[in-house]
Amino acid sequence: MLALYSSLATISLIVFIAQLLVSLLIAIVSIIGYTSYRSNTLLYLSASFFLIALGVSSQSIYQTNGSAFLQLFGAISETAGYFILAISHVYTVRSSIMTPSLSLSFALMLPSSFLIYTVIKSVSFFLLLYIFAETAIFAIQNKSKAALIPSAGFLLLTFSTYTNLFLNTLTFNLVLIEIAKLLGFLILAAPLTVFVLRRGHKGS
Amino acid sequence: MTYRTQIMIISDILKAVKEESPQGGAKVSSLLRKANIPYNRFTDLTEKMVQNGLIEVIPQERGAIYRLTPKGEEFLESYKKFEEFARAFGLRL
Repeated sequence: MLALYSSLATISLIVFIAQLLVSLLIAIVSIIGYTSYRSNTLLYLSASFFLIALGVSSQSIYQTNGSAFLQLFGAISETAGYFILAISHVYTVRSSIMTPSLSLSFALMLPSSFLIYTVIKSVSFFLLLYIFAETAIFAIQNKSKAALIPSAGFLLLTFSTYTNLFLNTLTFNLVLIEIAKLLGFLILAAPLTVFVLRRGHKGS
Repeated sequence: MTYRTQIMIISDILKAVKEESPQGGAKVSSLLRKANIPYNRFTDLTEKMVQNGLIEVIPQERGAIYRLTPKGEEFLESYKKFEEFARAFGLRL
């Protein structure tokens, strides 16, 4: 049992490092883009992923020192990050089918407990579900394969948040949550490849 | 029809100029149609783009044609990468 918890701690550390790296990379690339093109979309994307990075860092520190304040602060930062990402869909894409996807998210948001932390995490779940729906709708409407990949990442993060909220009593589930979170964030790094694979490429 | 920011219109003009490159340059009428902007807005923007070295104006017997400069080409390529990056998150630049 001790060995299981030890490997769970190792998985959590790997997930934290992956989350932090991916979030910071996306935030930095977005802020570079914003300074070049003054695009509000990139500003929102940058603010969103900086907040997610801050949130996951605070929650990871909480796991070592047990400060309830850090746990709450981390959850609020991460949720604020997802909120900015969700709201940027409203401002930049203005999806005509926003209302049904929002209703779907609300319908799936189940009340969980009286704890503020859980309530905040529930909001995170709702926001992630909304972001997944908007990204998937955008991918389908625009026939964009590139947008389908991150939407799968958001779906995995939604699944991980949902499982964490309602089904985190078993060790197996804790491993599943961490793996889903890790895969979700690694998939979110896919859009960054456009800067690596096409570096120095002219034309097309 | 979605609202276009100035940077989106500039990129549309650059894309239109690039499309016409094989013909030796882009004419104003073609750019107005492809970038879908009124003439007065077009002249303001192209003036700024010429000042910033993104495009060059080649005077002709009748009117002028526009060509993409290496700086404009670089700007457009970089813009396309960020556009693709934002689209991957289901967003428009």
